[in-house]
Parts: sequence; C-alpha cells; structure tokens
Amino acid sequence: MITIAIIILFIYLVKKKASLVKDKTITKINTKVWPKIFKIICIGIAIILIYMPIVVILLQSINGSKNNGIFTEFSLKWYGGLISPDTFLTGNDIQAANDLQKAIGNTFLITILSTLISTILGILFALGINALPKKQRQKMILLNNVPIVNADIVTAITLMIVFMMVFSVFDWQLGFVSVLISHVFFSIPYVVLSVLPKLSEIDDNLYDAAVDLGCSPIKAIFKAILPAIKSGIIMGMLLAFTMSIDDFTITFFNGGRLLPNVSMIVYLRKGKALSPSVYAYNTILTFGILFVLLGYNIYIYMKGKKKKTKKQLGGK
Amino acid sequence: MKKILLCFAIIIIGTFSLTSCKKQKLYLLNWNEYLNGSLVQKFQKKFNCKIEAIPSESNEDMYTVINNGQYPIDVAIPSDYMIEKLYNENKLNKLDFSKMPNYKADMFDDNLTILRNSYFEDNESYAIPYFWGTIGIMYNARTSGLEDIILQNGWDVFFNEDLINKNEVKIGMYNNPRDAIAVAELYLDYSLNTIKEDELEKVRELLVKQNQTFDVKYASDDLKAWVAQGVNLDFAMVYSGDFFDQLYILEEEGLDNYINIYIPEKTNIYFDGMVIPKTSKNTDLAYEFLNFMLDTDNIVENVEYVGYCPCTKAAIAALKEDEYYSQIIETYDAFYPGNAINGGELYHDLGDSIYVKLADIYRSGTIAK
Amino acid sequence: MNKFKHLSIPYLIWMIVLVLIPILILIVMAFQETHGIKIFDAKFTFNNFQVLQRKDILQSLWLSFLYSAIATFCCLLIAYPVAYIIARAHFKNRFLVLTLLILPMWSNTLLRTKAIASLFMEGNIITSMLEKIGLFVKGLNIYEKPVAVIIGMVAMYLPFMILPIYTVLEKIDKSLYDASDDLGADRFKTFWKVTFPISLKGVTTGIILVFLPCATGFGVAEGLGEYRLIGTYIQQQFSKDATYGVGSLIAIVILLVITIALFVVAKVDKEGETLL
Repeated sequence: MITIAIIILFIYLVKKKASLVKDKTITKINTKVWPKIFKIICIGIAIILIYMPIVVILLQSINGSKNNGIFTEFSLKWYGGLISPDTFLTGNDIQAANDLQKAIGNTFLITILSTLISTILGILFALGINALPKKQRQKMILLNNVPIVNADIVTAITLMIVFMMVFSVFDWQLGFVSVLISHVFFSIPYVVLSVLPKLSEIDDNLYDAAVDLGCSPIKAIFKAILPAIKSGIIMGMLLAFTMSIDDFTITFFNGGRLLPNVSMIVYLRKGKALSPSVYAYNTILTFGILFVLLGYNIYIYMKGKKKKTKKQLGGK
Repeated sequence: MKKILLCFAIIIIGTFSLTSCKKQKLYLLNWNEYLNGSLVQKFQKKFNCKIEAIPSESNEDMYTVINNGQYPIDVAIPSDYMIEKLYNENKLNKLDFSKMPNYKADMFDDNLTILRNSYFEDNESYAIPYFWGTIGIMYNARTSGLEDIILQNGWDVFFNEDLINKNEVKIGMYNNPRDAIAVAELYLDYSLNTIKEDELEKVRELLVKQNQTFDVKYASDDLKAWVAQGVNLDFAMVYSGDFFDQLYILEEEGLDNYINIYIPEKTNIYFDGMVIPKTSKNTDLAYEFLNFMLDTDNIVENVEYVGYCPCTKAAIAALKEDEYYSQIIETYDAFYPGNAINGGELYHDLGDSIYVKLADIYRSGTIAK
Repeated sequence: MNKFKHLSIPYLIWMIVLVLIPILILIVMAFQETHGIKIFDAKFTFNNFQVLQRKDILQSLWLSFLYSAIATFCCLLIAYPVAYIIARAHFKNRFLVLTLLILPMWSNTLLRTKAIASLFMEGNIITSMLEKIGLFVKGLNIYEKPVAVIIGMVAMYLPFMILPIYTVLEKIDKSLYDASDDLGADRFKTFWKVTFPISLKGVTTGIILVFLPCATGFGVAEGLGEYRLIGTYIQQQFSKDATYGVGSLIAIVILLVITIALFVVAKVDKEGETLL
C-alpha cells in the first residue's frame, strides 16, 4: 500500500514539476501515451525493487508474533520495546530488546562520531588535494578511490592486519578505537569526492582575498570557503552517514564484537535473541525520515507557490 | 589550524581514556542467546566487574578468536570436539578445582559422566559442562502421515524417496559440514567420527543424491523458525535445544502447538563446556565465573532463558520439581539427552585435513541441486 | 589556495599506512602457511597456490562473476531509463530524488536481504496476513535458487547504478538538446548521438559500483541462501578456518580485479566526479 502511495506521490511530483516547465520535449512526451506508460513501468519497477523489502520489514514490525513468518495480530509492542522494554515487553523479550537498545546506541555513537570526524578531515584533505598540481591531484584521487571501489571484505582484512600489528605492540584491545578509526577510514573518501568538485568551482583568489581583507586563516576558511562548498559537504556527510550506519563487514573484523552495532546483531543473532524491535527501528529510520523529508519538500513547495501568488497579487 | 588540531587531540585522547575503564573485565566468548542477562547483572554486581560478551556463531569461529588473540578471552564455551582440538593444540589452562568451591567431581548427571569418561583423557580437568543436547528431527505434525513415517524410520526420511513424496515434502539441513554429514553417517550406520575414505565417498554420493532428489534447504538458526512457520519446511534436523526454543515461543504466544521432535535411537550427543584458554589475563575472575555458573539456583535461572538441559544432577532434580519443566520433561523425551545415551555418540576432533575434506563433501552435495 | 597543499600530506601517509602497507602484508601472507597474523615467524610456502587449481574455488570465482554480471546487466536495464526519466523530467529537486534513492540504504542491508529472502519462501508474512483475510496463497518457492539471488542483488544495488547515471545526465547542458532538436534530429537520434556518449561515464562507474560488491560481498548472497560465492569463502578463511594464507591469496586475486576497475575509473573519470 505504502509502496503504491509513494509511487503515486513520486509520479505526481514529477508530473507537477514537468507541467510547470513548458518545455518543447516535455509537451511532446505528454502527447504520446506509450512513453508515459513506459515511464511509469520503469519507475514503478525501480521503486518496487528498492522499497519492497522495506515494506516487508514494516509489516514484520507490526506483527505480534516473534516468528516473522506468522502474522498473529496487529501490535505496536515492538515500537514500545524500542523506548522502554520493561513496560511493553515480557519475559525474554526484555533482554533482547535491551541488547538491541545498546546496539542502536553503539550504532549512532559510532556513526555520528565517524561522520563528524570524517567530514572535518575530508574537507581538510580535499583542500589539500585541490591545491595540488594536476598530475599529483589525479594520483591522489586514484588513491582516494581505493576504499570506495575496494571490496568490503578486503578493506576489512587489511584494516584488521594493521590494527592487530599496531595494537599488539601497545597491548591494546580491538574495540571502540579500532571501530571508529575504520569507520572514519572508509567514510573520508566519500567526503573528499563530494567536496572536490565544489572546490574546483570556486575562485582560487577567494581565500587570498579574505586573508588580505584581514581575516585570520581559520576565519577565512569558515567565512569564505565553507559557505561556497556547503552543498558538497552536506552530500559528503550524507554519504558518510549512509555508509557508516549500514556497515557490517568492516565492523565485524575490526573489534565490532565488543561494540556490536545493529548489523552485527542481525548477523549473529538469528534466533530468539534478535528482538523484532529491530524491524521497528528500521521502519522508523527509513519511513520516518522519508515522510519528514517529503513533508518538508511539500511545505517548501507550497511556500514557494504562496510567495508567487503574493507577488502576482502585488504586481496587480 | 592549531585550534582544530588541538580539538582533535582532545577528542582522540578522550576516546582512548574512555575505552580504558577502571573496572575489571571478564572477556566471555559465548554463543548467542546462551546466557541469561540477569545472571550477567548479578555477577557484575557481586564482583564489581564488567562482563564483555563476545558473540560467536560457530565453534570454528571461537577457535579463530582464541587462536589469533584479538581479544584476551577469559572464559569460552565451545562444544566437545572444539575443546578437544584446543586441548590437543595446548591452548587451554588446566582447571584448578580448589578455586571453585561449588565444584564436586560427582555433581554431573550420571549419563553425562559415562560419556565424558569415554572421551579424550583428562577432559574432566579442562572443561566444565554447561549444557548438553542431541540432534533430532523436528517436524510439522500437521503434514499428513509424516509423523508416523518419521517415528518408524528415523533418519531414513532424509534420504529414502520411497518413504516420502519427493515433490511435496521440504527438508531442512544444517549448513555446517559436520552436522550435515552426520545425518548421512547416521543413516548409513557409520561412526560419526569416521575418517575412512570409502565411507566418506559413500556419504558424498548419498548427499549428492539427496540434493538431486529432494527439495533441501540449508540454513542454521532459521530452520527451526521455518518448521514452526508451518509451510516452509516439513521437517529438519535440529539441536534438541532449538526445538524447545520454538516450542516456548509457540506456547507463549498461545498458538496451536503442531511441532514435535523425534530423536532416533542412533544420534549425536553434544555438550558445551566452559574452558579457560591460555589467552586469559584475569584468571581469578574466570574461576569466579565458573564457580558462579555451577551454583544450582543460577543454573536453573539460566535454563529459564536458554531452554537447554542442564548438566548437574541437582539442577535436573530442581527442574523436575518445577511445575512447567516437569511437564516438559515428561512429555518430551528429547529434553533430557541422557535418554539417548545408548545410541548417542560424541564428535571427536578429526584434524584439519579431514575438516577440509568434510567441507568439500558438503559442498559437492549442495552443488548437486 | 596553494597554501593548503601540505594538507594532502597527512592524507597520503594515512592512506599509505591503511591501504598500501596492509596490501603488502597481504601479499607476504599469501606465501606463508599461517594460522593468524604472525608474518615474522611463519613458514614460507607456495602451497597456498594449489588453491587456485581447486575445482570448487574456480567454480566459486565463476559463479561470483556470473551472478554479478547478470545482476549488473539487469540493474543497468532498469536504472538507465529511470535515471534518464528523472534527469529529463525537469524535476529540479535533486535533493529529494537523492534522498528517495539514498534513504533505503539507511535501512539495514542484512535486514532487507532477510526480508527479500522471506518473500521467496512459500510461507511469509504476506501470505500469513492474506490467510487471515481468508485468501490462501502460497509464496514463490525460489529461495536459494539463482533467480532469487539475482533479484536480491538487483534490489540491493539498484541505487548505486541510478545515482551515477543520474549525476551525469543531470549535468548535460539542456541547450544541447535544443541544438540537436533545431538541427532536425528526432528524439531517438538526439539520445543516440548526444545523451548516450556523455552518459557512458556514469554507466561505467555504475557498473563498477554494482558489479564489485555483488561479486565480492557475502551478506546479500548468504542471506538468500547462496553460500558458494567467493566473498563467503574469504570470510570463512579469516573467521572460521583461520587459514589466513589462503584467504590472503584469494583476496589478492580480487584485488587484481579491483585494480583494473580502479584504472578504468581513473581513465573515464579523472576527477572522480561520478563515483558518488
């Protein structure tokens, strides 16, 4: 149902925008029926493929039974279990939900920290790479692409090798630090890649001008450069967050057992210890944010429309 | 720039100091869902320490963790054959029983003691049994006629196409080589620890034929849920404890109870034992934990969460007093593995080259589909 | 802004320590008979190379290639029109499109895989719900079958194909279309002569971003009951069998493929613009 709703909303938005812009090609498309059907089928298949599993998870989250193949009754207790296991759940479910709460805490701790650190480092590194001569820059970008293109399992193993060698020298244990470093490691390249194109767009003299006008170097970065590359930074943060929140392989090999995140719990706990609250968590994470964003966009759209009409009124 | 660097230094130092907490830590390498969380709380309170639970999904995985020393494991709970392997490679500490006042040599169930006496020499002084169980056939009693066939033929149902309708019946097998091959060995009446070439070849042929004939699904913990689901599988091999796991869920949710388990006469018996590997840095606390887990009240509390059969006489007696469990023990022979003592066989450590071979045999079976 | 040049040096060191040195160690380990990472006191051996002759490993490699090639092709087939439609619909809200595509990635991959796997079983949450209403339907029974694995892979990695193609198509100057239109080209010709050549950059990136994780990952395939792929094999060498030498060797084989991919990326896309 929700998939269909999303498809309709999506197509509606696409059409609305499309009809706003009276472009030659668009009017051409609109006059024919077949391209339109083809369009709907294509987007429909894509959306169904991408959103089908999420809808299944949604159904599992409102199922009263622990066996996710049997639907017993409609129940929101797994959502309650996310907030307060003791009041909403009974028996062994409480422990599983408590463990899940811890795992969610770990996930967000690691993800937010690594996103922040990798964004800051990524911006600095991108500044450095951008300042290099062309040949060197391309080599650095090649190196930067390694963690993105590399197989998760190979990255995980190579990191594990480094950690085990370094940590055994200092007699540290794998754990929080190693997990955090590895997350920062595979997040930075995404930030660098999304910031670089924006950096190359801005004028080389921008920073110098700011310094000449009396800014300290740090102030110059904050006041002159950062605003210009804002969209790249947001994109990079979004990607870093996406990669980090969903990582399993790299965490597993690099100390994640002491700091299990949600993926680890899903992989290692297949029986009763996996609280169905995890479906609730997943649903909130995706659909919750999805609806907030859609709502926000519609709000912005409506606001823009109002302004337009006001302007028109004013003009009259 | 300097300020930013300073901030970073603070963050990094902060995180380092966060990780080096002052409390004593007990690194426990354990299966998932295999220890009651309330016991963890109790132990932590009593000894003012923190239990760092390291979850594991297989014996081989436990071996790797102990072997490469990523974590300083204090207590591990592997199964019988992995204990033997660790013992053979000299990776276990010999237990000092004087540090465990709760331990008595004759406290374990008689049948278990018989089994352990026949196991590798001196195993009593390296491992303390935690839970034990058997392998059985979990089936959906609603599938018409299936129950009688399983009760009469035992392991034959996995391989004999005359017994069951090969187009309709769906079979579940464990996806680890050792257990999948065990079923074939039980059917062929071989030893579960056979290393004879010709016998293993027969096993290979049998598994290939099974996969070509029947609709076989391989999984681990999903098997029990799929049988309980009612449509996805008709019967599967499961550890007896897994069956009770699903049974408790069905009863708790008030659904019809249509699943059952049958343990054929010839089967595999396993026990999981607590060991202290040589990686242990906090051995005293490890002994405290072992001692703690030998207390009858704690064992019973643990059974209430895990649902497997305990190993000590006192705990089994206490369960028989309990209203709910006495009923379970009476209804289901499978709960008490001692019932299978006559035909039950333990796994032994066979050596790495045989494991590679077993993996290969298992693989040729799954490929044959 | 040349002052910032020195900022790239720590990154270079960081990358050398975390990428290049461990790869060297990996290569050394491929020549060793080792259970665990003890590169200084392990025996030197060529025995690990026998693995490359084993039938099951070759089959694993072949299967991984086959599955991911088909999955990548299907992804491309679906993703290209979608990216094209979105890019040409004058749908200006790029952020919304991106979030619609990225958000599903926030939900846990393993959970999503499990959800898809459950759809491929005869009894699942949906059939069970329909049963409540009185409709007795049986689900597809294709769990563990190649079709299931490929559908799963396509569903998981589709956004990685749509995004780069969309990024490239969106950047095409709209006046190019008008110019082509004015010159009398029909829509098909415009697409074939103008759009398609430019979009190849995004297509290449998309193919790499889908093909490699499909071929080397293990979570998705395992979730759908396929335990024979090469990713699973490497993971088992490192986490179950503790035969690090063999694992390293296979990892290096994969690294070779990845290196080729890296140079392809470097060739078509020097500044890494589409790799998002």
